[in-house]
Amino acid sequence: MYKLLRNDFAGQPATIVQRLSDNAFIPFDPANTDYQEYLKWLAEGNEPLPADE
Amino acid sequence: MSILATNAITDASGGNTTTINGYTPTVSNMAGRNRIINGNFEIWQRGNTSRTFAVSGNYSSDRWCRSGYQDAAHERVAISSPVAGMTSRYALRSSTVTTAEAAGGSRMDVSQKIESVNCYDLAGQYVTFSFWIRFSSATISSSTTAFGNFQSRIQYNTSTTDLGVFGDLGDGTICSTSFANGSLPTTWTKVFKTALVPAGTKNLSVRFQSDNLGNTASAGSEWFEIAEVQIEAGSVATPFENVDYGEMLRRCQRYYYRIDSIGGNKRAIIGIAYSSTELECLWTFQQTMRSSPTVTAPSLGDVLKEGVGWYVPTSASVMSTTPTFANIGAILSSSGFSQGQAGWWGSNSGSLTLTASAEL
Repeated sequence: MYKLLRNDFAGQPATIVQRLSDNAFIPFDPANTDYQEYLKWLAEGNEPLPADE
Repeated sequence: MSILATNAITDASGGNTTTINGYTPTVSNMAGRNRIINGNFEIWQRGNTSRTFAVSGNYSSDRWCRSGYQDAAHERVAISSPVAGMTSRYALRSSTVTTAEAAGGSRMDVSQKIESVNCYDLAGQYVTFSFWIRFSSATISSSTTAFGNFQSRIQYNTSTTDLGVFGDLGDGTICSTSFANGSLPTTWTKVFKTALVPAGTKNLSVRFQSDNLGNTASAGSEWFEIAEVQIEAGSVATPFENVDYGEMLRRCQRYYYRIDSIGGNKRAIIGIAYSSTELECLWTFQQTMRSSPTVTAPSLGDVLKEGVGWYVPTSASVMSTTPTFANIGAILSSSGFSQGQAGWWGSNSGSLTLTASAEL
């Protein structure tokens, strides 16, 4: 399971997602293999938890 | 004054090599031959004692991981009973575990995927794969199912570039070596094999593994050890290339970097308070990493406001990461900080560990 992180710049989309199993912070970088795994997880129909307000 | 004329130096047989100040460059001692990083298992930033992996994707010795999804254990061992030709001091041991995870067993397994920028030039060329290996016994037995034979191989990718090793085990195999269970060598044995890398190859990976799954009644009762793993261009297995420790650590930190602040009164990274409950810090990496890394903070340490005191963070948060730095926040339940004030993140009563991973 993943959770989007709030972007400190108001109105901007999240650029980091947190993997809740180990609290890892994964950047939205196509070369990052954890991000590749996240994209695969999304493609399977899953949705991350929303960022905190 | 000495003058050296063009083409005036030849070796004793009239060839093109020569000795310069006592050093004779040969194919066996040229630097930069080995495409495997940390092939002598000197670098273990994550720790070198035995660790059991319950999921795929775990790294042990730097750049070495499991590519399968079953349980297994890795550890560093000192090379015992070395034979002539071995020059390194450590090996990686992959051993059995007692638990059965996916597919009903554990699998002894070690692999390394080579980043495309470090191997694409080998496409269309012959490469030679060499390593030393030994087993705990000639027959690896198990309490449930059977591990079967052992194999090592080079795999390649032409359809993808730098995808994670776990979801991308290769488009094909270009060479493999097998040992039959029952005839596994228990003394150090050198293996080498030459193969042609297909045109268009983007990545190479090496794997060592048992063919099948099994479990043992006692963890670690069966194992294999590998040492001095090398892949080089050409059809000759040259002696293992020993690289300066600092240089090898630098290469490893392109893929994984960590800081550990242990002990009292240590100031590791500096930050500016975003609020009374968050100190945002700048963590710069020693080496430009392969990609923007995944960041973790497995041990939170302490935060210092100079002249006031230490505070214990409750969690961490990451605002951004790039290949050269991360902006990471220490989250506090309360503190004496006001927005814009400077502070330190380090260790006093606790210890701080931050990790950055840009592995394949």
